[in-house]
Amino acid sequence: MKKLSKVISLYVAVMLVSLVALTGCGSSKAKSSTVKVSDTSKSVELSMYLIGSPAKDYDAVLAAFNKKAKTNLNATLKVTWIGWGDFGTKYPLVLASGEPIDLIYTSNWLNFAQQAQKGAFMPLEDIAPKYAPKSFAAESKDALKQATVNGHIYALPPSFTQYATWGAVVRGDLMKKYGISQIKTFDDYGKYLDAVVKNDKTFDPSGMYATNTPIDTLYFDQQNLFGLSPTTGYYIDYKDPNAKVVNVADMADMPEFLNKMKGWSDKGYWPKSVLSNKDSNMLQEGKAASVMRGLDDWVSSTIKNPEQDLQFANMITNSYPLSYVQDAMAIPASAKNPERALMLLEKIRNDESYYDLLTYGIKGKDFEITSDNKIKPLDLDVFAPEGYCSWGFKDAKFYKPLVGSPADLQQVRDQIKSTATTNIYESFTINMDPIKNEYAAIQNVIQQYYVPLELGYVDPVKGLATLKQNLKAAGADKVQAELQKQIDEFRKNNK
Amino acid sequence: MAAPAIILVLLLSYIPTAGIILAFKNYRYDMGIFGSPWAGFNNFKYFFNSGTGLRVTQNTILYNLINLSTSQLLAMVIAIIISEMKGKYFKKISQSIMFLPYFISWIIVGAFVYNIFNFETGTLNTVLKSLHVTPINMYNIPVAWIFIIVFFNSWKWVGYNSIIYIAAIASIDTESYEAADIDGANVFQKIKSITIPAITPTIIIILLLNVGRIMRGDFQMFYQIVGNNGQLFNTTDVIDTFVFRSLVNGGDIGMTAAATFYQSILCFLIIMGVNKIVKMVDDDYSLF
Amino acid sequence: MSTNKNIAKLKTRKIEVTVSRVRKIKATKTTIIFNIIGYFLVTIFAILCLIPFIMLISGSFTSEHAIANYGYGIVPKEFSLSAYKLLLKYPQDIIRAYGVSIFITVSGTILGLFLITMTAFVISRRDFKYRNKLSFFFYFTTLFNGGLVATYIFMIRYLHLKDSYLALILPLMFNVFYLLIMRSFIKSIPESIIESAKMDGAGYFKIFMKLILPLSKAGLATIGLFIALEYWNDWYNAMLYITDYKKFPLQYLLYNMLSSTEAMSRISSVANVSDANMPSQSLKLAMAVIATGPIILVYPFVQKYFIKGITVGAVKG
Repeated sequence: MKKLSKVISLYVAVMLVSLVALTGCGSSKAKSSTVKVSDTSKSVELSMYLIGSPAKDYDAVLAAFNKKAKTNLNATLKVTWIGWGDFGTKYPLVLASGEPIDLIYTSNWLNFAQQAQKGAFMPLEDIAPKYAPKSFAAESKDALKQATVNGHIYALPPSFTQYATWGAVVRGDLMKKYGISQIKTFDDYGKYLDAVVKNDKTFDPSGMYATNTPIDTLYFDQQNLFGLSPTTGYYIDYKDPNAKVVNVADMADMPEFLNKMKGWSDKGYWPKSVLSNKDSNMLQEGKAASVMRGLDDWVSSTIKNPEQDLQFANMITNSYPLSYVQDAMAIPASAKNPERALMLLEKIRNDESYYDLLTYGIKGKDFEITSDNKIKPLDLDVFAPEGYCSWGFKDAKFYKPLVGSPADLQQVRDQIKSTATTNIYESFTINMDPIKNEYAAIQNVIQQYYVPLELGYVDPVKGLATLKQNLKAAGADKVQAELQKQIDEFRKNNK
Repeated sequence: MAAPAIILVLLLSYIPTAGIILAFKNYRYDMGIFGSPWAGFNNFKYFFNSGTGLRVTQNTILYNLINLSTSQLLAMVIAIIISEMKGKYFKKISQSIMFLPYFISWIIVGAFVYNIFNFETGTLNTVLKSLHVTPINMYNIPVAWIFIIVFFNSWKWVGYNSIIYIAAIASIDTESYEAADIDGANVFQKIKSITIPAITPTIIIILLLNVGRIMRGDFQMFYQIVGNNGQLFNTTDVIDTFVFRSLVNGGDIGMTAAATFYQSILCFLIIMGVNKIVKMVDDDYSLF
Repeated sequence: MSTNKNIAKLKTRKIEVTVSRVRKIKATKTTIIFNIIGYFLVTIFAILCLIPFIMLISGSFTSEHAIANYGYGIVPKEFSLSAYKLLLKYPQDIIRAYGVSIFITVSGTILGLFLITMTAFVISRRDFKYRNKLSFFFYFTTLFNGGLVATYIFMIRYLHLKDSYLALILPLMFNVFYLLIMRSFIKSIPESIIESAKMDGAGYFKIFMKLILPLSKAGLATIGLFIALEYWNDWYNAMLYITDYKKFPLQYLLYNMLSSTEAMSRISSVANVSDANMPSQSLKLAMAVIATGPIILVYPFVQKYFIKGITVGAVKG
């Protein structure tokens, strides 16, 4: 015992020493030097963090970029990459370490709002209009609202409005074969799946895999249900101004839906081992007859497999603009040169030569522009257009579609835009603090008890009861009440 | 002589340990580790809500105990066999082969497992169908996965683990074996009275070291083999996978730290207890 | 007189031989049983270990289309070199990564092995008062960890090890588990030898260099192998601390390839990014083969240290 207490006291001593030593870290309040807009007298190297891995040609692209940037802005850009497999771990680390970073890509799936709430980013409402005036002016009101957390603007969204699209990317060649002319509703899709099962047994009809099981999302989309937090099963009707937040377990037609899903599963519309299948490329490999995704996937799949004559069936009947913070650029609190960073961002978004470099590569070497203003990539292995986290500064005026995109792409886009409505909930961010424990527990419950249920692997009646039971135990009542409260408040403030 | 090691460990391990307090803090990026406000035990709540935390703790401990006994026992048996048997080339080649699984990453193993067990096109069902037996949906049988996981754990580690035992056996004085030979002892007797007692210290150290890790699951192994298959969670979820899933969206640094702290403190208490018991039996065998 | 002795000796020898021959016959029966069981067990287990590895290699030589439609098999259904061709189209990355991995593994193993063995020797000495306290000091670090955030901040901001090879070498250099295993190896060295050396006036360091090291061949080989394997297989430290792609070790390249596909598929339903350029299954397998290949060939060289009795000769001397 004596030995132990000696060791413990030694340990405490070490802790105290390190406490003092480490106190320095973390207090990374940015020192904002007053830099006049046109003051580029000091040469500076800006550090930008992006997600993914660089193209083989990226060094050359960056060199060309920096040549221009040095001449025009007396600044050079250094890009550091956080790989796809690492972002979960590394993204928060990099922000927490207080390393001076001037620009970073952010998004909803990178937990933009939560991190802004916890002080990861610098407020931009004062410096952006000054140092990136054109970009700031081009932001729509909604975009800025969505980038606002706790009263401060923490990101600059791209000026490219994306509309919510979710549905099925379906093989047109098979549709012709079965004599199905179009798929407009959820049940139409079911008919297609049925035809596949009956006529082409070797195909996986719906292409679902472990992390993509949105058969329920398609159904909800048709009913104008918007997922406030799909991983915890909370939805709201975005067309009803007085709608209540509802959990999947409590939806009125859930029992009927689950019965239908069990029927579909038994009929073989999807395999029994979807949840362990990690293959997300089945459509492109020619193994699946359809896949449930968004518009952009339809485009990229068509480019890859034109022979499949892919059609897109959008289940969101009245689309709405997606969250503008689906892709955005933010300035971390640790930035040393926020003003110069904004100036650089301004240049990228307003000077096509800069934009094209980072988005498409070096003209003539990596890509060419065709006569109808489409991008033709010259070597996909060396530089794939829009493949390197350039979505954070995507700009509507410089955007060019790729050669090989579906012929009716613009038509489809226009049609979506014309029937679009608004969804105020895209601007809503959940304040997790009061419910973060229950939230985590419910995420787990949904994963364990709801997902197998929606896929029809479990008895619908018993499974639903089990789900409800576990949700309750995880604190669903508290979360529902809190979400409703936040939604009511949000609606009140957004009249 | 031990000074360099002490300094290295102090530097790299002890100083950062101050980060443990994150488990009790509501971390904010702009305030750092020490500036962020205290959160008491808040960060632990999600783990114990709804009782899942206890179930995954139980799973973690049970899996570790079973895996420990099976893989170490098998490794010992294989080590003894390899050391005793004749046939130089057979020994060398089989040793190298048994070592191969260690190199195959769990991500690839996961893909192979799916390849074997998936209902429609898996190897298992293809074989069953050719024998006119009804195919099995393994993913509907949660209990089966306990055996599958234990099997794959041993498969991966036996070759690696056996090396320690082989090395320990190699250090045994051949004189004892020669003497036993003259006394006419047979193979089994030699193993029982010479080999096993001689490697007992090694066995105990390895067991102790593993007991000290009893609250930590091999995240990659469970995550890749089971994946997101909720039907199997009751029997296969361990602390590490549970925490990962709960926090993947919107989880914060404090909650992750809390889970790690929970694992650490339990490991600590368990190993202190076990080490004390071992010390009472024989001071030499204990870890410290 | 001597002849009598000799005759007596011969007689006892003869009896011994006869006796031992009889005993040998008995012994051979059990030996045969043992060998049968032994060969059987080992062969089965070896086959189980070999099959997935063959599947891995075969998969890397299979076309993507065949894998998607038929899964993995022992023999490629559709032979294809496309995965390797793609990987070797830009060999500089792989060659560079090899260099990095080899450099780190070799230097880390030598330093680590030396450090661990020396420290293990110290804490194995029964006359060292603080051996248990020191052991606990080291062991404690395996129980409690400051967590990723603290370690990361410390390494990057205070030690300035970002993009430094030291960031890949230092964390793995001193593994406490190996320390304690090495300690038990060293304990098996007879105390008498060390005593006699001390009586000859040798200091501890000299004893360590001249006696312990040569006598611990099996232990050194084992722990050395383990340390080398840890270095070779480590991608985690590279993920955390290395951002310069010229300094990526081989396993990190592989990990990147394997996990980015998985991560992409995880978020592609949430994000609007299309996974157009994700590596195919066979590409991943080919990368795995390339990343694993060499170290497997190293193992047979180390095997010779695991032969019985290699250390004993020195003891007798």
